[in-house]
Amino acid sequence: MTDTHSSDEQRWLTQLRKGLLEVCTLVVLSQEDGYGYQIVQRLKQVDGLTMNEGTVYPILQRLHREGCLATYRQPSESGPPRKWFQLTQAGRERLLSMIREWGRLHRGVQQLLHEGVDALEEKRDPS
Amino acid sequence: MTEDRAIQRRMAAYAHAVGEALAHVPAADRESILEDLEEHIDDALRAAGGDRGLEQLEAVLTALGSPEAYAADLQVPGPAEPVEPRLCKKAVLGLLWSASFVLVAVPSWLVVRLEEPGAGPSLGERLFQFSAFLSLAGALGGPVLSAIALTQIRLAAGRLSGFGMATVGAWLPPLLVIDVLAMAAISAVVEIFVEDGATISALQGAGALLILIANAVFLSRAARRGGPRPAAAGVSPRPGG
Repeated sequence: MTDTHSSDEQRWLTQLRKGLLEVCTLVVLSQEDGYGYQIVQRLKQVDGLTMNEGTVYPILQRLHREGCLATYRQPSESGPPRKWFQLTQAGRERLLSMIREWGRLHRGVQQLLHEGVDALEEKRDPS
Repeated sequence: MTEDRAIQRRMAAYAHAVGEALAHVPAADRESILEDLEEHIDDALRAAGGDRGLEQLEAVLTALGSPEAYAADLQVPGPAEPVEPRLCKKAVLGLLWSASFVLVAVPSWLVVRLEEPGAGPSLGERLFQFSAFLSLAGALGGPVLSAIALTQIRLAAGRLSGFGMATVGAWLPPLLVIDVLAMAAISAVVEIFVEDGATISALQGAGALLILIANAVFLSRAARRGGPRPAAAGVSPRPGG
């Protein structure tokens, strides 16, 4: 994908990414505990998930408020102690349920997209 | 050195803008996000290596995005039913405790002063003394409990109600002390300048009425001034999504 999306397409992409950022954040923290900057760097490596780095912090905050994440302080090698985020049991359950839902949605949408592609190709064939 | 100051200023301005954008968010959440951002900026600058110039800072802030983006991300679109504020229990208890000081301890003290020394106290009298003691403790406990309730209600940003109750609970005992002092002062002044007994009583009555009105006005203004903003602001769905 190149950066030649129209503004309408861009808006759609932003919404799509935003919805996925929450589940991706939970996945990152299911692998190991992390602090803000580190989580942002991990998420940035996901292909296509380009975002404002700042948008991750409200999501961390919200997940913490909802009991999906716990926090603790740990000294860093350089600078002041950092706040680390850790997945709670509630967070693990939320993540599992999200993964199930995502799988279902993905299968359904994939099916529909295939049908769409077939229809587009049929229309193009005669000409 | 001047660049250092410019960096500090730029960071403070950015943090301020984020804080403004999050004005409707509970204070605890807002502070937490600001703290996280500060940590992020610090980490990002360190990762960028060596010199922490204004240029590096601008790059980090650009990657963070607009302050408005945070505000948008804290309000999840979706089932945003308005949260009915819950009555803060500490506000009710604080008010009752403070009020018990006025309604029980003060009359008890008057009764004890007026009663004649006699045989040992009966069970009823002991109970009465105990409740009077509890109420006396309310002169301190009531305002303290109410002050805790006030802080909780402020931090809850509309999710807790009972601000008026907590305000009255916090002020009732100290107001009573002020009232007693004011009444004593009025009586003393009146007795110096007026000789006629009936006029003295009338003036003292007027003074008491004035003090009562002043109390009511003060309490109602205090309860209204610091009241939390409407609850709906923090949870309203975003138009357009």
